[in-house]
Amino acid sequence: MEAVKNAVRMEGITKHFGSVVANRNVHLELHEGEILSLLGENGSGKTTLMNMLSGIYYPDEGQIYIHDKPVTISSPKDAFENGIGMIHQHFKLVDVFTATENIILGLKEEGMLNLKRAAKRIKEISERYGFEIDPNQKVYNMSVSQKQTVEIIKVLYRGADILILDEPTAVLTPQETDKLFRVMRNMQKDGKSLIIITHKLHEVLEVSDRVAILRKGEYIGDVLTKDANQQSLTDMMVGRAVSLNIDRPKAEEMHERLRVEHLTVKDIEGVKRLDDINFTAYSGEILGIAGIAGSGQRELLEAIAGLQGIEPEGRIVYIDPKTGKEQVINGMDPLKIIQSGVLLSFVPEDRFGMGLVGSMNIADNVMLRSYRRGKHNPFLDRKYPKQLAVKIVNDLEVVTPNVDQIPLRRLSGGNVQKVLVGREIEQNPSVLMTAYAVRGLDINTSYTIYNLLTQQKMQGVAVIYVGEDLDVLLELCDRILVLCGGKVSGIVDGRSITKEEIGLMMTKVGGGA
Amino acid sequence: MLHISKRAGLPAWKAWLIRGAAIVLALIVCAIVTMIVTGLNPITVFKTMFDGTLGSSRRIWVTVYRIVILLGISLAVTPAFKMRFWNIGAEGQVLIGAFATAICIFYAGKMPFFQNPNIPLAVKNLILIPCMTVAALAAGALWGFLPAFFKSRWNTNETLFTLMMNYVALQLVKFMIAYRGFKYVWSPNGTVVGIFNSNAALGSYGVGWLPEIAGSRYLLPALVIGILTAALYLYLKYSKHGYEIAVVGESERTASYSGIKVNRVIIRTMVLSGMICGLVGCLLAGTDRTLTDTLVDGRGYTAVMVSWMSKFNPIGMIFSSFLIVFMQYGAKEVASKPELGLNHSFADILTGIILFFIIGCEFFISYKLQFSRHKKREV
Repeated sequence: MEAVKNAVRMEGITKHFGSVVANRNVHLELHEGEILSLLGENGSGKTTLMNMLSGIYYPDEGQIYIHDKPVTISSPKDAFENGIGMIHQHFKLVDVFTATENIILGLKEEGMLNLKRAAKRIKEISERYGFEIDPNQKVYNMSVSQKQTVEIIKVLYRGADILILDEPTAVLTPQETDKLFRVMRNMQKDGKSLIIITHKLHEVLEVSDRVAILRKGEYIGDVLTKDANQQSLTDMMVGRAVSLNIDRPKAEEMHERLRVEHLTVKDIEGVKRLDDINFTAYSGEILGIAGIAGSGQRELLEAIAGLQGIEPEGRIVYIDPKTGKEQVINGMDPLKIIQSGVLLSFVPEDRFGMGLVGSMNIADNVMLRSYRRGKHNPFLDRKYPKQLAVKIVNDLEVVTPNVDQIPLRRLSGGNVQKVLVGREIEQNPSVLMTAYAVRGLDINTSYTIYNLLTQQKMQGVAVIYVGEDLDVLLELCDRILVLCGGKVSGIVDGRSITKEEIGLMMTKVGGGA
Repeated sequence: MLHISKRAGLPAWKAWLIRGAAIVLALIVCAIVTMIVTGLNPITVFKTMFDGTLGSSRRIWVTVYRIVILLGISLAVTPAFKMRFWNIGAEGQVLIGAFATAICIFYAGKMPFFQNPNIPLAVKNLILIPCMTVAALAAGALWGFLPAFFKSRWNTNETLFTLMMNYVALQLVKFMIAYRGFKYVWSPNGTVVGIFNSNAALGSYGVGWLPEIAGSRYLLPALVIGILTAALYLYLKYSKHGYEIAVVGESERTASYSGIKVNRVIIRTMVLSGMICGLVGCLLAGTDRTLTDTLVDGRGYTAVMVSWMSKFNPIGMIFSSFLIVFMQYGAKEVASKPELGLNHSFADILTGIILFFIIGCEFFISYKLQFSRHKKREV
């Protein structure tokens, strides 16, 4: 076997954020022409490590070598000069610009701006690696997958030969993911070296040559993908054996809890985001909602939560678990819903944008749901929320130094999500809605959340689970409602449907049958 | 090479050490600038500043009064800023409060009841002072309500709106000062704006003046604002309203999600802001016993700085108000001494240097600088 050449070698990298160590003495090698998966739990320092490679952070200690030459990367510009390009989780594109305009944005080329020449080069790059892109399409008309394509071409256009993809598949359908992997292999054949960060182990096994594992900021080791399986990778990542099965018991009794009838939602411009949605959620059941990102999932949950106006013909009916009394809740604002005794909990998609307050501590965030207690007391009761916060921290194993000092924003994503889910469950809901409850969470935390939801289901809660990972939807949910372009493409049995069938239903109403 | 990274929380005593060091550094730089530019002994200049603000008991009282007024306005703007409502209308809200107070005093002075020399002054003021306080609160509340209402109804820009309201208040005051009938009563010759009800020969003498306590007219505002500071501290930190303000400020969507009515909170908070401003206006007009268009004198804007410097903590505002007042009026004192031969611009330079250091040091509290050791190895 010939000696491997390293595209990247990171040696003894340490990075602190205040007193928190994000990376400690990490050694990482990326061979030329390989696809390396970087694996680790939330807060294990993967993104931090990659950000140091792409010039966003600067290591406190250690040295980076690119093609065996020591380099100093202290800005994204330095990274580009070394041929490193990173595709971030959150796209950084200008919506009103075309693909071409976005790609050449910020480039200092000689002479006049020549969009035609740029478009031609973009076409060449696309053909070479098998991208599908229209250089003149505006970004706001693009799907998530197309936007991602623009981001990838952007770094290729700048001549990157080392690409870092941070959770690229989190927002893609299975078909789109396959397409991305094909492109990645084409790039590899062309001699590029790639690092992919993903939480989905089957993708790691499918696409990469080698897997490097980080745990709590430290480098644990690497394995060749052909010698690894899901269980061995998880064990390495978590540091102990973990069970990777989702239990899906059947509830004995099921009662109607929430009925949605003829629900239509239009946005400000009058475009239908949801079109005549009908379904019923039952207690003792997890109803999954699948669909490509932006198919109306958010509007659906927000309409039920009273945050989104709906067209007059629609009805959202809540059935009281004790009395069986039916109550129409559309047209009520969230406060009215709470005051009418509707036991509805909601874990929204955008944690800090909607469900939580990042600058407040855990107890104050828990208080968000209960601060109105004691109607005639103008002052807050902090004792009860604090007790509840301590309970949530203990029950869900939230890692935090305290509950009443550290701002929530300082905790890692998984811990933040546990606080949010924990708070919503502590409301003793009758209907529990969750949107992308495990987005960005590592496998261990994800399973904690799946188990919590199943537990809720068995306690007689109607759980509505909006998800993006089809494998999980198929393992977790009793029924799955598939959305496509704001319409119900079908409601299917989670135990008998296949991933491919759902994938088709997501792209075409009725699954093209 | 230099890198900037965020600190993960600094112990409070270290933060105060940095702030203290910043003030010392600021004074040193001021001293150097003074020596180079003017050739004067910097100690003389600092001593003049000190004497001008704290040199005698009368000066201390005036300084306390100025601190108290600035603190009051800073308290007023704080709830709005905490809510991320960019209210720069304190200037107008205070002025309109003073205006309402002046109107009350002015028309009371014309009424037979208040002119009757047989009714004790205490009785007259017992009736009038609550009236003018309520009028000032109402006027301030209106000035706070309008921008909030338009913001919540039509999403108007609150910065422009509150700024505009400042001019409306200012023009109203200017108009009233120029208005003949108004002026006449104040000063018999009708040319100068005078002290309200100051003609000792008339029965209305002293009507509407805020009472002196222990021989000082500045003690009442100090007490009122002192109580207000504590009240606002409790309100922001421990009340349900205060919690709602913090949530709305951080994320309006989170607020709606949890059932907080965002528009109601915005209007309620701005009305409160305006009312505190109105109250300060009442204290100003009632203590100064006059109304001029420079009564507030830019303190509505300075208060914004005080509020932010203290990170919206009412207790911290006591210190920042003191600092700002000490510097501003100390600098004015420096400018007013003919033997120093300096004008107000030089005083402004000193104020600028000190503020630069005080605000600049907050950067070092939030971030740290690191010098990289990598360059050496590469050579």
